[in-house]
Amino acid sequence: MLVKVLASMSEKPAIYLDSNAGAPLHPRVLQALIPFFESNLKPFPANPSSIHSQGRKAKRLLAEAREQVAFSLGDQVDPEQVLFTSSGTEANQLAIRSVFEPLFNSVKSPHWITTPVEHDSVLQMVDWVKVRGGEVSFLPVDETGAPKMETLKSLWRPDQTRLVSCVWVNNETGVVSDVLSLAEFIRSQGGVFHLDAAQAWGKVPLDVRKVGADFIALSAHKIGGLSGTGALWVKPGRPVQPLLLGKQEKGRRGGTENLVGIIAMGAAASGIDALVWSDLLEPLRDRLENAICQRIPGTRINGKGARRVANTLNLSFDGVEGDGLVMALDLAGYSVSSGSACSSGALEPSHVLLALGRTRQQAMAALRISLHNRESWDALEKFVSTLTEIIMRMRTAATPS
Amino acid sequence: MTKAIKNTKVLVAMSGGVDSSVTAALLKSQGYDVIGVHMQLWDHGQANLQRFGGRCCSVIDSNDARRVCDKIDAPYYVINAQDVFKDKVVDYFVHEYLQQRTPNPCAQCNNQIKFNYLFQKADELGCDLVATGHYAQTSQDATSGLPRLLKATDPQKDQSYFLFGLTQKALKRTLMPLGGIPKIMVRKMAEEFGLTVAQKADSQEICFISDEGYKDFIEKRTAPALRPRGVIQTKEGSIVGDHDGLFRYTIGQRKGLNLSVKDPDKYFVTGFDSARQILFVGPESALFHKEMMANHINWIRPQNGIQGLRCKAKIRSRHEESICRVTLFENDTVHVEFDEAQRAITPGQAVVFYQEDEVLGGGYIHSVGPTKEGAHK
Repeated sequence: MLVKVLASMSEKPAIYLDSNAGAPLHPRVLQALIPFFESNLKPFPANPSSIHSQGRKAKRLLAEAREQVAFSLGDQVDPEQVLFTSSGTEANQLAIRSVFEPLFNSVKSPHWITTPVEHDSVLQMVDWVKVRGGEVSFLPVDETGAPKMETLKSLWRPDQTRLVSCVWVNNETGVVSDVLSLAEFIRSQGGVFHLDAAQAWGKVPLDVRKVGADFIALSAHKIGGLSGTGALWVKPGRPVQPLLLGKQEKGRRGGTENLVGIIAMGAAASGIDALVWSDLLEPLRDRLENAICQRIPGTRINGKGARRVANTLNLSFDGVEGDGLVMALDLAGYSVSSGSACSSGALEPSHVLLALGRTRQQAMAALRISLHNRESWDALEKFVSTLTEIIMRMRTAATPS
Repeated sequence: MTKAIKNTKVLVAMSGGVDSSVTAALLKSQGYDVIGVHMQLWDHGQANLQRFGGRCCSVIDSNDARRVCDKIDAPYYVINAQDVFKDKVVDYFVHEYLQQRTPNPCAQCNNQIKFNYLFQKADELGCDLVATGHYAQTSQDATSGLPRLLKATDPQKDQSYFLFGLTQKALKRTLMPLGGIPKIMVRKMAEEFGLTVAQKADSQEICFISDEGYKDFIEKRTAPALRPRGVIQTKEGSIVGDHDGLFRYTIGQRKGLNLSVKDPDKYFVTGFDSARQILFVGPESALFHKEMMANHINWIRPQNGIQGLRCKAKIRSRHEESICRVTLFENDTVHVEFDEAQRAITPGQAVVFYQEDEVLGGGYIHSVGPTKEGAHK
């Protein structure tokens, strides 16, 4: 019976509950791109470096997008401090390289402090720093997954520590780190602060002057832009070590600009209002959380008790292990996520949940639901029913007969 | 099956090879609700990015399977089975060699992973059936109504030997649609279905062992104390060489012994003394035995009180099955007596019993001869 129910559900369009992986396209993006493509038919060769009128037009669109992104980062933010990249990953790695690259020749064992719950793009740099003679320490996290800021002092090495990298909003649990106190201490010690704001952009009010970071990494598809676009905000005076050499982006990032992606990012950034977004989604998320906890015994909320962004819900279910849950939900027509996928497409246990003390099998079975602002409660109520059925089925399957 | 094919959900185990791809396409064309699943069993690391013939679980294999599912419009998932595969297959493989046994990891993988772990996944995903691209057939026993396991019609490709561990519970839910189709037809069907894998090379060798070979593989994963060196002796007691660990040798092996005797080509590995780490060698005639014990026996259809059952037995995948008598003891142990002495009965290898085309069951060879100690000492 259940099989039939699920089969009929899968014929309906999927309900998308994975906004943290990639938000649905912001309506303003289409509004901006349609005229762009239409004017392109005329033709409109889109190389912003060309001297002719079309080139100047492209350059103007680029500048406008840069202003839109800058405006989303607070009042009076200089657009020239916004550097476009291919992704949040590139923005993160560019920030870390920019600090460390010059240090390897001048400082003995430069020291980097980061956390075990960073995005993979930051954790990938741990080996990069280590093989070049640098040293890395990890800020421990509490039981909610929030980095313990008070331990920063004990990890700090006055002669060695140069950079702290910290994720503002964790992509899996939605937990918000206390970056303000972090920034204050780093500034008092004269260190550099790199903030990964990929999941924070659009979800928490962002004002670069209040945050007190030196580098802020952003990602376009998390706010309803196109994937393949990101940005790095760089504090005035901070040098950048380019990954790609070239004249674009004032010599800080070579390669002809991804004009379509950048226009889309600007348009999406212009639609950001973190407070309105939160007011809309928080009641929906809390209602969903309560409904699931009521219907499914043995539900654990990962990150409960910490400050979380309004749309994210990360759950573990007792007796449900391994990687079947996301697939079963997909077959039933619901798009959610769990852990992170390796290159073959297999799920790996979430390093964030491992850092919270979950086992490998539990860390693979955690469910991340991330809402966007066009979901109705009716759809979510049906989701809870399906989820309940699947969890019960998985618990039965896991019991040896 | 009472359920209409149309509403039957089938999990198809897809390696990315031509057989499982045709299985998926065939079942889809018959109207089944196909869900493609690729099991990531082993991380080949950098080698992942190269097409290297005959070994699976690379990213390329996963992508090949994905493209087949795109083509037939079936959902496709990659399941991470690395932990369970390492635990049940790779560690077993290493342990067996360290105990002077020659393991059969493919049979073990079928028993533990494909027809066990994968069925659990099928339950989780709400699938009624599981299908594989194995060359073997199922049918229903006319009197009891129980499912039977049969050889494939293509004797060259028959894989029933590796499936002796199937239980009734699993068999009832298993589809192996290629069992009645010759391999050459399967490739033609792949082309007709428009599958990109139609000309892909067949898999060979052991999937988790790359060009390094099994000896290096085991050495990398075990402490030297577990695989001490020792001497090579004849049955008569004369020492004729040294060995670098008993795990490096298999019953019947002739090459690579480096013996200090007159006619080294006439010596074969005949047995081990694991307590004293002695490798025994002898003439080829010493390899022939009529009797053996096997354990961990699984009967496909329930069997009771077998006393001198006449059937045929196959003692390795390339062995020509031979007539024997089987007597069942407690603890799923059997005594097997062949009509004619068999060459190189090898502990650790699977023995599978056949009557005509039906697989009765099988287990793992424990020792040669009627006693637990074996005939080598």
